[in-house]
Amino acid sequence: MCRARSRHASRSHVADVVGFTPLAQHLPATPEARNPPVSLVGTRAGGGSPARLSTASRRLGIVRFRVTALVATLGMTLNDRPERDAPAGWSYNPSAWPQRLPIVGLALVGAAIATYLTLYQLEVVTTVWEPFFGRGSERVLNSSVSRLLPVPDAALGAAGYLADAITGVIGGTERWRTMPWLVVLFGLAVGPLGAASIVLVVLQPVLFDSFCTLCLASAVTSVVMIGPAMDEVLASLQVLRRARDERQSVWRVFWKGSST
Amino acid sequence: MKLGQWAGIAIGLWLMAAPALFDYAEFAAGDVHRTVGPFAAMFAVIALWEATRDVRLSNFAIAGVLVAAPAFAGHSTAAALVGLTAGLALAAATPFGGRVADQRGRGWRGLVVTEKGAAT
Repeated sequence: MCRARSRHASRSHVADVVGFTPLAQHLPATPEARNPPVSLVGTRAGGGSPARLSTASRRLGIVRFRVTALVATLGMTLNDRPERDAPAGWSYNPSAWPQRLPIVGLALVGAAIATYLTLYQLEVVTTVWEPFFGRGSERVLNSSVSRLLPVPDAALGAAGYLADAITGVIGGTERWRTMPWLVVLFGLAVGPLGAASIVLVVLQPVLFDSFCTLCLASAVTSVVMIGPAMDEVLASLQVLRRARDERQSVWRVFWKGSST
Repeated sequence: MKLGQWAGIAIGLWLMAAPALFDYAEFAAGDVHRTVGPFAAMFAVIALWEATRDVRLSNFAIAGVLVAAPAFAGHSTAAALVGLTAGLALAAATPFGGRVADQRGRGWRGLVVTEKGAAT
C-alpha cells in the first residue's frame, strides 16, 4: 500500500541516522567527551565531588557508547546495502529486512490467533471470544468441516503461519538470488495457502449461516501477507529465468543460488 | 489512489453483508454473493501492492458473475438489484489501480516473454 514510502522512510531513517557514517561520529557528545575533565586523571580540584561526578559521567558515556554501537550495528544489519543487493533492473531490494519483517510480524499475529482457536477446538479453553456474531464462532469452530482432518483446522492454520514466519526470516538480504528455493517455498506458504483461507471465509455463511470474528481476522491476516511477499518471489523467478536464458542448469541455480 | 482496490474491498464486504441485510440469504443469490464477495475483497487487497497490482483484473470476472447470475440462479428483486449494481460498480472501478512507482526488472511478463538483449 504505502510500501515505497515506508521503504524510503526506513532506508533514509536507517542510513541517515546510523547507517554508514563512521561509528566515531555517534560517540557521545557530552561535555566530558568533548573536553574530558581533569578529574578523570585526578588532578582537578574543587567543585563538590569531582571524582563521583566524573565516574558517573564516564559510566553514562560508556552506556551511551554501547547503545549507539548497538543501534549502529542493528541499523547496518537491517539496511545492509539495499541498493547494492537489489536485483538488476530493480529500484529496491525485496529481500531487505524492512520488506520482510512486517510479513513475519503478521505471520506471528496470525499464529497467535490460530493457536487460540486451536486451544478452543481442543477444549483447553472453554469459551471463545466473539464480539459480533453471537454464537457464530462456536458454530463455525465446532462444525463438521472443522473436524474433517485428524487435527483441528485451526491447528493447520497455526502451522501454516509458523511456516510463513520461519521461511520469511531465514536467509540474508540477498536470498532472492542465493536461496531461490527458500523464497519460492516462502511464496508458496504465503500465497496459495493464504488464498485458501478465503475458502473458509466462504464456507462460514454458506454452510453454517454464521461468521466467526477471529476466523475472519485470521483470513484477513493471510490475505494481507500475499501482496508484499510476492515481489521477492518475482525476483527469484527472474533469477531462474535468467539461468535458463543463459543455458545454465535451472535446477542447480534453484537449489544452490546464483552469483549474480 | 487505488480506487479499484478500495472499491473492490468495499463491494466485497457489502456482498458478504447484503444477503442478511436484505433478507435474501435463502435464495441462491445469497450463496452467490457470499461466495464471490470474499474473493472480490481478496483480489483487491492483494492488488494494493505494486508487485501484484494486476491481480485486481480478476475482479472483472467477479463482476461478470454478478451481472450474469440473475439469469441462472434464483434472485429476489433486492438480490438482483444488489448484484447488478455491485457488478457494474466493480467493473467500472477495477481499471483504476493506481500508479506503479518502483521498478522490478521486466516484471512478471518477463518470466514468460523473451526479448533479446533485455535484462530479465
